Amino acid sequence: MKKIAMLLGILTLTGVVSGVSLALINQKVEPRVLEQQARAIREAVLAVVPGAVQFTEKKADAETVYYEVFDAAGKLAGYSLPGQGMGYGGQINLIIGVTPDFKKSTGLKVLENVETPGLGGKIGEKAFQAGFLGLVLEPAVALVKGARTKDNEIPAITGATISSRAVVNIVNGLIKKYRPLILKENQTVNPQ
Amino acid sequence: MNEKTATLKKDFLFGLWQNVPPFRLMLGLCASLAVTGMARNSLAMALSVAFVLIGSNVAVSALRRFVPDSVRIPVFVVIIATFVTIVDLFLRGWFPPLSKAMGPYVPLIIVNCIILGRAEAFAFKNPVLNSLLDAVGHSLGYLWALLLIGCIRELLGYGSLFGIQVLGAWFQPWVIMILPPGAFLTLGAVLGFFNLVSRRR
Repeated sequence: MKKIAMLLGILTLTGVVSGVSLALINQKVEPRVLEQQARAIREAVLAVVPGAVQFTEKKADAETVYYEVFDAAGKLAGYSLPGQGMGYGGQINLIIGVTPDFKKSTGLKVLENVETPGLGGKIGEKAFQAGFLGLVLEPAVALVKGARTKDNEIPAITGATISSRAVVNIVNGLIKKYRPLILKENQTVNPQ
Repeated sequence: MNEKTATLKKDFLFGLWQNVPPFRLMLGLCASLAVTGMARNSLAMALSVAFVLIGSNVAVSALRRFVPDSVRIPVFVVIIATFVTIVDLFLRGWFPPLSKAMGPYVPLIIVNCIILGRAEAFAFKNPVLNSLLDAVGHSLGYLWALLLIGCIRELLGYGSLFGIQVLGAWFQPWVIMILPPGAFLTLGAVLGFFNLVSRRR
């Protein structure tokens, strides 16, 4: 009995010491972790709209947000729309910038992906993402094999059609969701 | 050299060659396969393991007289988990891209058998200084082993080392080397090479 009490005591003590020290360390680290996450989002939101200097966060519904982005003169420069979907290896997180009239894309950044390195992983590289600069969004973005011939087309990455299609699908989903939402909102705010 | 420094030296060198973790102990293989696609990730993993191994070896050794045999394993695991959580928090706060690249493999250091193995086989039976040197030796052994695998895979898979392109445009990257099969191929080849070298001796 006495032995069991001693063993219990030692295990409890180990747990408490470990728990308390981790809690103390976490208190120091957590603000930094949150700040890093906030900074990553801030940089991405501004990076996909050229000339952007500031933005305001808008709630689309209970769970999703998008960003209104403004240039140095305080004029609306576009919208940054974050979205996610399944790729070949797992979830893809990206953010796309669009012009205020939703006619063109101003840039795309893949924030997170676990696609195959060297193949689908190329969606994370500049060469692929540059295709979204000035891309026409109407009627919808199309994925093509080989070189693009129309200005609403994105060439698929060789050997990574699934990953490329996943990005295009996420983008089309975002446009479909936000275009009516935001354009309608704008009309009610300043009827023309 | 007196006997004490001789033992210390032996404890230090043991993990560096004779007992080098992935090749001789055949421990810590999960991380050796999973995060060695690039030399940078190898380095980060080896340093994280080094911190945990050194911390837990010293703590286990210092506490060895107070911890009864029957509960030593749970105590080891709690100590190891504490150090692993510290590393995980540190990487998330200061090196978010690295933390993302290594994904679940940082928390998984908890079950890296090198650490529990050294706690059980060495630190629980030896003084603090010896345990420290044992941990440093094995950490350095693990470091060069992971770097070797990481450099081979990155060089053949991307044509680069630590992210710097070293092979020219003529080089056609072997994509398979960055994929999981490449890890097995490299580990197998390196293991074979080491067995060959030690048989010659």
